[in-house]
Amino acid sequence: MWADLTQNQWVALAWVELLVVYVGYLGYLRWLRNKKARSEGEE
Amino acid sequence: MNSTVSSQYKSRTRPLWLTLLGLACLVGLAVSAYLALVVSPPDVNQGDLIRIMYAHVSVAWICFVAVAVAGLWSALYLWRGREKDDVRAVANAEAALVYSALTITGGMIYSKPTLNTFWTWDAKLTLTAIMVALIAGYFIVRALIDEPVRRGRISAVIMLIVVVSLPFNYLAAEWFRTLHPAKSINLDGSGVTMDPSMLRVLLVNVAVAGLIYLYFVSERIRIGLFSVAPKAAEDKQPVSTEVVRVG
Repeated sequence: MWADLTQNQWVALAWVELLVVYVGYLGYLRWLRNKKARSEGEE
Repeated sequence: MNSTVSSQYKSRTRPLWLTLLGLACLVGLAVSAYLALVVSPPDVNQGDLIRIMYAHVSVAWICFVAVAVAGLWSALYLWRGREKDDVRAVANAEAALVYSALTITGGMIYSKPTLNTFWTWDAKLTLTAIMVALIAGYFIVRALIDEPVRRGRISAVIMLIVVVSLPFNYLAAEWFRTLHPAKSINLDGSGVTMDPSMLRVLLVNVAVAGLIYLYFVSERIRIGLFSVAPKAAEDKQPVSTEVVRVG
């Protein structure tokens, strides 16, 4: 499977992985902000 | 009372500079990707695979910065015992975990087509894997301890251990036999073995990765201070003001 990938596909894989992790961490920060705001409201 | 409510509201509203920083990160990411994927010439040996290097090296450098800054705040927490220092250390430790995970996975993607293997247990890669495990351990330990001061102190010591491993990791490619390429940019002033056109693209990518790191850490600290800031505001409130308001 991996041997079939072209150079451009490896490059795309690396950059897409970078973007996915960035977006994933942003999503986590958003979730954490909402969770903290909810828990503060309940107190 | 109104001033307290106002300051609490302000602490939960994202400041304008942070929003602008986020927009700068988006623009910067688009520019750095364009430079790396379109403008940069292909490498004489690696061809287009050199375009992975811009993503991999930039996050690796920022990973080192994040660990060092997390270590600095951890040391300050051990020294001063302020809760805010612990919040800042955690924010940087989270960024260090994100960037170290990116360094390892990006390195594996870079390694397979260039060196024909995803992974090898040599010094450089093993030290990086240990660093990721220690940072993950930092958060596992924090999750297991309920008492805030003890949690902060023990996790701060773990982060300082991670910081001690940084110089060994940085110099591992020179000190030990490893598949990892030697540094192309030597911070000891012995020179740069990289084409200037590629160096410029790399430095832009490092700057943008640093900008994104700043945004992540700033936003994480802001969220972490939600539960710290109001208490600090109450502590600062002078007693005489309360008397006047009640009267």
